[in-house]
Amino acid sequence: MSPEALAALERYLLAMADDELVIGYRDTEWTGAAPMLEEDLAFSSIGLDEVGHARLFYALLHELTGENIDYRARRPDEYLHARLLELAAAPRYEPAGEHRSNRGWAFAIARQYLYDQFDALRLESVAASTWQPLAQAVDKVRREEKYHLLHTRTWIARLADQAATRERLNAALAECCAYVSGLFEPVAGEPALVAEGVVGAGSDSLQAAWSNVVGGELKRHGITLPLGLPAGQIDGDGGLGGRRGEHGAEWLQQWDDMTSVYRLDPAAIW
Amino acid sequence: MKAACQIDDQQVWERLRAVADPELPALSVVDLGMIRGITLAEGVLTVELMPTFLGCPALDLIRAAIEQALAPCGTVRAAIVRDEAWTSDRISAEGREKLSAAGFAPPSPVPLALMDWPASPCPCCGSLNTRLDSAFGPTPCRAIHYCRACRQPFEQFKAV
Repeated sequence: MSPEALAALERYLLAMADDELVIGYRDTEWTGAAPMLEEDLAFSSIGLDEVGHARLFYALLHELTGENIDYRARRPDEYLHARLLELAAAPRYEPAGEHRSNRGWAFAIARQYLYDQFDALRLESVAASTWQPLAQAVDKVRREEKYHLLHTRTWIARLADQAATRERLNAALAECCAYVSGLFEPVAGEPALVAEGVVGAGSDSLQAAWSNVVGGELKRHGITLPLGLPAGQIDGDGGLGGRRGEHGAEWLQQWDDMTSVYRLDPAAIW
Repeated sequence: MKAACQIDDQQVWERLRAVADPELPALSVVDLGMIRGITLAEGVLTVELMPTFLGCPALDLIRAAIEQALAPCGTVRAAIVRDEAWTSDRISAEGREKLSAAGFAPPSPVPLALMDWPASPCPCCGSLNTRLDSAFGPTPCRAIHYCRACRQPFEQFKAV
């Protein structure tokens, strides 16, 4: 592997790991707050899976660089996840008693569905990576991710079925769409990764494939959205910046929550 | 096993057969097919451990239990396998029987495609007239089904 590809692979693995960690953490916030007990379990399980996948990618990064990544010991601008994933969905109860309802269940489902479709394509694109440890490791991840898609597809169909929930789903998908370009923001040096077969497809072709799959599936439910349009053609800035460590205010809150015990006592185990 | 290790290969496997999955105590890590192999090099006994699910919260407990069970062997290391995926097809015939006896439906053969989900036989009455209620149960490795014949909800070890 060339030095350019090696440096880009570090960023690529970090982006994969951070994506999984950040959405996994957001998923676990539904424990005790989902619309029904089965969904408390489902979102807790999905969150556990995602955090487990993040752990695997951090371990691969360790194998690649020899450096240990402690996710809690990094500054907020050192995380390379897409900004869509840091948005707060579950209700939040502040210690002082204040309650924030945040974006809600339809948003959590819409985001998880759109992200899982993206993740499936990204995993497929590294399944034949010329960097053997990555190709071997993602087989396990793909086996687990199948269940996430099965689950979120079922929920999309369910929410699209009734007028009231359909309206919420549409609004949630539209809000996600303002951020989806961030999923496909390439890490610096991506062309070297593609040229050397470390990843099978660049961000542009992933985005085209994703738009086809997601657009086709949603169309069967009668939903059309401005999916996959380049930033600038949709509201906002397309959720870009994450792959360079640029994030929003909600991320600072999440980072603060995620690292609070560690910052109090780095040796604490919980 | 020679040198630093006080017990032989067979005894190592025997001890591993006594290490239970904390979330499915009826089954050992060997029944579940979680042990890929054991090797002894430079005085360190390495147990190659395949996680059933990457985010399994019991994984660290299982590692510690393995290291404790093999402590008489000297230095023991449970190493997580990353270059090969554990699949539910690795559960042994004995393991599948133990699952059934504990009231869990054993996993179906691993489905090839996403929409390819064979109905799980009900562990209470054996009927195939069942449906998948949720792919996510009380642990990452278990799904919740419902039997229309005997009207019982039941859990299945996920095919993965």
